[in-house]
Amino acid sequence: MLKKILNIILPVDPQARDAQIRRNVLRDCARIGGTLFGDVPKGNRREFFCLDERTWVWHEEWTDGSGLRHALTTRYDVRPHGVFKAQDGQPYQPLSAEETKRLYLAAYNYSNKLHEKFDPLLAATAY
Amino acid sequence: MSKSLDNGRANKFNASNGELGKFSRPVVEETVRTADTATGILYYIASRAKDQVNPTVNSFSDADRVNFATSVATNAVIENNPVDKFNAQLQAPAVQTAAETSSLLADTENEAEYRKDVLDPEKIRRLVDEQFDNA
Repeated sequence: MLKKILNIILPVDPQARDAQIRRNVLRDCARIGGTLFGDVPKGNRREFFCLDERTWVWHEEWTDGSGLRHALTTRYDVRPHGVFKAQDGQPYQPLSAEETKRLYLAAYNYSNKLHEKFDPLLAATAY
Repeated sequence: MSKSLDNGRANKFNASNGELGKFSRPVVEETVRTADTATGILYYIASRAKDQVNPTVNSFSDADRVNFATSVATNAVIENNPVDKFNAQLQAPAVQTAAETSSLLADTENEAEYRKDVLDPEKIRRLVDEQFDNA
């Protein structure tokens, strides 16, 4: 049991370790992305990140006035003929031209934020 | 060099010490590269609809700037309603204030250079036309 727990916390298998690092880096990026749109109210959780070259994800959690917790995930799929979004299992909807432009602006800011944070670190640890 | 990352004892990513371990470095590099490429693809996709959109940031007209700032201001007004706020943020997610919008737009006046340095248009086009079309 202890070995199993240790393997989860401190995986020695290179693939598991790689996957864990990827998850943690992505979590960090998602948190950075969540700050692009203003302050996140206390108790809310907001994430925005690039999942892969064709997918962007927005996730928000908040508590309403009656104390009920809500969560909404929006996935943007970039396809050759446009950008489509799906929210919590709903059918895909094409983005309007305006929203596409704004998603691009958000992506542009996101990329810049990543460079701001990581470029100095990468430079400092260049081999 | 972060020993905690390098020896595999701590796999959590933590850049607060200003260092990257040898295991996290390639992941971070790939993550940043992927975001750049994804942004470029988005740019290209938006550009393909340029007749309707005029999507390039550095070609924003004054009217575009005003509309964008207005939508951001509207977002601030409905801050107390999380659902509406969320929907508004989906519609206008880029920046918080008109001042920041202006700053952003000013920054991106050098965007052509940024694109030239960071993104290879041919690569983007190839990714879209080959990878996506064949998906």
